[in-house]
Amino acid sequence: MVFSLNILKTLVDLENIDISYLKERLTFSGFEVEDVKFNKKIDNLAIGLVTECIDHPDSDHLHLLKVDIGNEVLDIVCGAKNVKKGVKVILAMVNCVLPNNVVIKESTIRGYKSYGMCCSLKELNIDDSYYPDDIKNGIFICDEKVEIGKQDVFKTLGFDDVYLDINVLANRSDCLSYYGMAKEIASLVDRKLLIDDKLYNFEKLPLKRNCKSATSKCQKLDFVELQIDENKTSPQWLQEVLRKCNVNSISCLVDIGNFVMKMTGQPIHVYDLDKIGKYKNIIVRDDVETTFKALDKKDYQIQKNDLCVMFDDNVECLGGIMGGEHCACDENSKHVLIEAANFFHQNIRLTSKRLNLISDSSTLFIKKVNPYLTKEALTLFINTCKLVFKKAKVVSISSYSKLKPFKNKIPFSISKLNNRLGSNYSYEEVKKALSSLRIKLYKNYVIVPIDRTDLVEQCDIEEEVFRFYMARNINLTLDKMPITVGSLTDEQHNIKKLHNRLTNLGLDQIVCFTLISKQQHELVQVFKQEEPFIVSNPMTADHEYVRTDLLPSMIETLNYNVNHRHTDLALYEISNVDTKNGVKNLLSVGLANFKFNRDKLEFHKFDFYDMKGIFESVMDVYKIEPNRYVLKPSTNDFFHKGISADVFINNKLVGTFGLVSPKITSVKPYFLMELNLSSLQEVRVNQQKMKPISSYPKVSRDFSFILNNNVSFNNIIDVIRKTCGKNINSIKLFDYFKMDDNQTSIGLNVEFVNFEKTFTDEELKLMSNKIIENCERTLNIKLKGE
Amino acid sequence: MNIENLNLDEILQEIENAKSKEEIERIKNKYLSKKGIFLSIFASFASLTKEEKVSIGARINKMKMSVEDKLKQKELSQFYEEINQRIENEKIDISLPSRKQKLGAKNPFQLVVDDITEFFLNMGYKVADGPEVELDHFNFELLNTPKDHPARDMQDSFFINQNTLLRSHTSAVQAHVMQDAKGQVPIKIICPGKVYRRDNDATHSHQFGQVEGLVIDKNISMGNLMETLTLLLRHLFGKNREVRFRPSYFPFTEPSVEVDVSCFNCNGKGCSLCKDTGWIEILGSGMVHPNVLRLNNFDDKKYQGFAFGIGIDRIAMLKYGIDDIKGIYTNNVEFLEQFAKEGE
Repeated sequence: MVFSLNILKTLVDLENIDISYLKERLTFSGFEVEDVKFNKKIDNLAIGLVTECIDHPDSDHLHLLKVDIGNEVLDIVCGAKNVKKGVKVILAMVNCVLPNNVVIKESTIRGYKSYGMCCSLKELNIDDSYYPDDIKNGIFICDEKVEIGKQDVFKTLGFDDVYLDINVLANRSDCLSYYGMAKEIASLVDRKLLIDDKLYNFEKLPLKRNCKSATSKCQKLDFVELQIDENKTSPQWLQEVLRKCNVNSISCLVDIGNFVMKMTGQPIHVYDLDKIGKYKNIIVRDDVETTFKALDKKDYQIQKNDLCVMFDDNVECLGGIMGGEHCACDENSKHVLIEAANFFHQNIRLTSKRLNLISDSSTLFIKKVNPYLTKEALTLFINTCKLVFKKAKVVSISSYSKLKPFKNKIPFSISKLNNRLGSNYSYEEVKKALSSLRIKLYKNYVIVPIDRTDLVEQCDIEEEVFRFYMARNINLTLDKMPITVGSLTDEQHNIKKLHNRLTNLGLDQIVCFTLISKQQHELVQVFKQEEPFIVSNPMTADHEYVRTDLLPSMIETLNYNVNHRHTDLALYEISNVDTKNGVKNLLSVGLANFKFNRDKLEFHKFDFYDMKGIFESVMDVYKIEPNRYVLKPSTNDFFHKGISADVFINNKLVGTFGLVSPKITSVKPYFLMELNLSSLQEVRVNQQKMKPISSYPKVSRDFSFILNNNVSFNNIIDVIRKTCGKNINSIKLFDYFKMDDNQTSIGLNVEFVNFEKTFTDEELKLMSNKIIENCERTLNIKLKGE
Repeated sequence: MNIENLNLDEILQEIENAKSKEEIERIKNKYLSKKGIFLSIFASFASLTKEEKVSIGARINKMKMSVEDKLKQKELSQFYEEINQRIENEKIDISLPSRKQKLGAKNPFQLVVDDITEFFLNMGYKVADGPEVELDHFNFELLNTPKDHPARDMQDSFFINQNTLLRSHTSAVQAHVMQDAKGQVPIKIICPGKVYRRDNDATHSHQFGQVEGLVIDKNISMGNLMETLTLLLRHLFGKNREVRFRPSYFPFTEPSVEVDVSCFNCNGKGCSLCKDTGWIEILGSGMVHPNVLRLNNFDDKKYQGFAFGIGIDRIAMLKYGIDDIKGIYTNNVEFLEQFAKEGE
C-alpha cells in the first residue's frame, strides 16, 4: 500500500524525520518499503494571478495574459482552454528547466512577447489521474486562497509530498489503513501519535433495534442515521487527501466514507434512506438468490453464500463489496444511513472472485477487517461531517453484535521468549519494546491493544520483541542443537550413485516438467496400468497431465536438441512420478545417432547393445546379478519388436529398453529406456563375499558354431553351463556375423577352471566333445567346418 | 693368407667406412667367419715352429680382438642411427585431440541439490521425501493455513480436485515428517524437491525446486536458525558474504524472517543483479508456529523448532549466472555440458 507522508504527518509527529531512517526502521521491522516516490523539485516557478486574459488576434486558441507574480506583472501567451481572468496559475518563469528538460525562454509567439509558461500538471511531471478533466486537459488552477509570488511552489501546493510504497504482510491488515500505519510508525520511531481516539457518545442517541444478521458470516453491524443540509462537492482539503489515496472525489458523503475507510481501514457504506422509503428491519442474509443491480449499473446474479444487506425483502447492498444502484447516495441525498459492518473474508473473496467485482471495500474485507472498530470509524465519519457540512444531525443508531469480547490478556514469559529467540533480553528491554508497541507487560501476562487482533499467544509477543530490536541481542550459535548422524537411506544412496555412474558413462542429466500434454501422455507408457492425475485448472493444454512415465519428456528433450542442431545425444532423467497408484522413482535414458570421440575422428553409431550396457550398469549400481532378471522381446507396441527388451524381475515388469518402433512415425529412431528404480530398490541383494580363486591354471578352448536364427547366444551359454557345471569359469564371444538371413556364425572362447587339480588333456577333450555334442543335439546347431 | 699382409689400421678403417648393416655383416664374414681371414691364418700354422706359433698367434689374436671390438662398436652405432631414424619417422602430432570418456553433465538444478544436501548431511541432517501430488490437508491445513486463511490467496496452485493439488511448497513434507515422528524428537531433516505454482515469466516457472529444512527439539532457537542459514549461505556464495535477516510473515512460522545475502557480484556496492540494493533476497524461514506443532501432535510447551525454504532454481541462476529459468527445464545440451565439471 502506498502511504502519503503528508497524511501520515497529520496523524503522527514526523517533523524532520529522516526518510532513509524511516525506511530502514520499517523494512527491518517487517514492513518492507519497496519504493519511495516524490516529485522532483523545480526551480524558477511562481504562482501568478491572471489579471487579464484576451484572445490572441491571430489565433483561434491562444490567449494573451497578464500574470501578476507579486513584484511584477508578466506578459504570457497561453494556449490552455481553462485559463481565464482571476484564476491563479503555476508559472514557469524564464530559465525554468522543466522535467522534460525544456528550458523556458523569453519568446515571441505570433508577434506577441511571452515571458514564461502557465503549467499543466503533466508538464511538471505530477500524476494527474485523480484530478477533474479540465485540469487533466488544461493548466493547473490553484486554490484561490494561495498567495502569489515567487516561492517553493511544490511545498505551497503540497506537491512536495513523499509516497512510501510499503509491503504490508498478510497478518498485519490493521496497517492497510493510515491509522494503523501511523500507530506502527509512532511505535517504531518513537514519535508522538496525533490521532484523537475519543469515541463519539453513541449512548446518548436514540437506539433502534431494527438490524440483525441471519448468518455467522456477519457478526457485527452498526448503522448511524444522519440528516444533512446538502450533499455538495467536497472541500479542497478532502479532495486533496483522497487524491493522495488514489480515490476520485464524488460527493461529500461518499468522499467522507472513502476518507474514513482509508484512515481506519473500516469500509463504510452510505444508503439514501429517502430512496429506500419505509422499512421495518435490516437483515444480513447469505441464502438469497436474485438479481442485483449494483452502483456500477450492472446486474449481478446473487447466489447462496453471497452476503446481502436487506431492507425488509429488498437487497440494497452486496455486503462488503458494493451497494445497490437503487439506494445510491447522490447530490440530492439528505437523509442517509451510514453502515460500518464486518463481513467474513472468505465469503467476500469467493463472491468478489465469482462476480469479478472488486472494490476498495472488498479488497480490505478479503484481507480481514478488525470487527471491533466499527464505532471508531463511525466516530470519524460523524466528526468529519461536522467539519464538512453546515448542518449534520445524527438521528439514531442501530447496532447488532454477536462478537465474543476481545481477548486482550495473553499469558507471557520472558524466559520462554529468550529460550525461543536465543536472546538474553532483560525485563527492562522487553518492557520498553512492548510499551512502545502499546502492549502492557505484567508479571506473567501482557495486555494488547484492541487494534491488534493478530496478537493471540506467546509467540506473537515474541515476534513483536524480535522485530522491534531486529536481530540485536540474538546469539548466532549452533549450541543446543541436537547432535545427530547425517545419512542417506539406501534408496537415496543408490540414486546418488546412479547419478554419478550415468554421468561417468557420458550421459547428460535432464530435468523436465512434471506436467505434460494429453498427447504426450498417450504417446508412450511403459507401465500401462498407471492412471494419471489430471490438473483441473491448467495454465495451458501443454501442461495438463501429471506424467506417469518419463519417456514423453525424454522424447521432447531429444527432439528439442535435434531441432537445435545437437543431433548426437546421450541423456538421462531420474525423477519421482505420482500416479493414482502411488509414488515411484523412474529412470529414463535416451540415445540418438552417434557417440563421438577425438572430435569427429572416431565415432560409433548407438545401437541396442549400448543401451543394454547402460542397463547393466544400472543393475550393477543396485547390485542385481544377471540371474535375478529376465530380458524378453518387448511386447510394448511403442518399441521395435525385434530390437527391444522388457525387463522382468520375479515376473514383474520393471522396465523396457530398445529402439522406437518404425510404426511410430512421429518419433525419430531413438534408443530409449525406462526403468522403475523403486522396483530395483526392492530386490533383496546379499552382502558381497569373497569367492575363492583356483590355484590351478585355467585352460580355454575356442568353439565356432553355425546356428539358425531361432537359437540365441543365451541358449548356447545355457547348454555349455549345464554341460560342464562348475568347471566353467567364463564364456566369451570372440566372433559373430550373419552369414545370410537364416544363419549366423558364432565364435566362443570357453575358459575352464578346476579347484582340485590341473586338467589333463583327456579331461579337456572329453568336456569339449560333450559341449559340441550337447549343443548339436539340443539346439540343432553345427560346429563350423563340419 | 699371410699375417704380414694384414694391416690392422686398414681393416679398422674398412669397418669404419661401412655404410650399412649389410656391409658390416660382409666385413664380419670376411674376417671372422669360419672361412674368414683370421681362421685361415690359424689354419696355415702347421708349418710354423712352436715359438713362431706362440708369437704370431698372440699377434693375430690381439688383432682379431681389435677387429671384433671395432665391429661391435660399429654395429652399436649403426643400431642407434637406425633407431634414431625410426623414432624420427614415428613422430606424431601430440596436439591432436585425445581419446577420453566424455563426462556427462548434471543439470544445474541437481548440482545445487547435491551441494545443499551434502552441506546438511555433514551437519547431521537426514533427507526426507514426500509426494508431489499432495492433499490440501498436508499442503495447507496442517501448516496453519486453513481453507479460509487469507494467505491462501498468496499462492495460486494447480488443483487435481478440491482436496488434491500439486504441492505448492516443500513445506508440505514438514507435515509428513512430523506426523511420522509421532511426537518424538529430535527431527533434523531437509527435503529437496519440485513444487508447482500457476506462475510464468523469466524468473518464475510453473515448476521450480525448493529445499525445505525442519529442526525440532527441546531448545531450538532463532539464534540456531540464523547461524545455520549464515553458514549455509557462506557455503553457497563464499565465506566473506554478509547475511541479514528481515522480519516477515508465513502462516507456518513465527517469528518469520526473510534472509538476504550481500551481493557477490558487486560486493554490496549495488549492481543490476541486486537491483542496486547491494543485497539479494534468498530464502524465507522462521520458528515453527506452535499451531503447526499442535496440529501435528507435538507438545508445543515442550518442543520448538525452526524451518526454512530455499529456492533451488534461484540459487542455480544466481550461482551460475543463468538469466532465464526456462534454461534449466529446456535441457539444451549446449547449456548442460557447460556444467560437466561442476558435477564431479
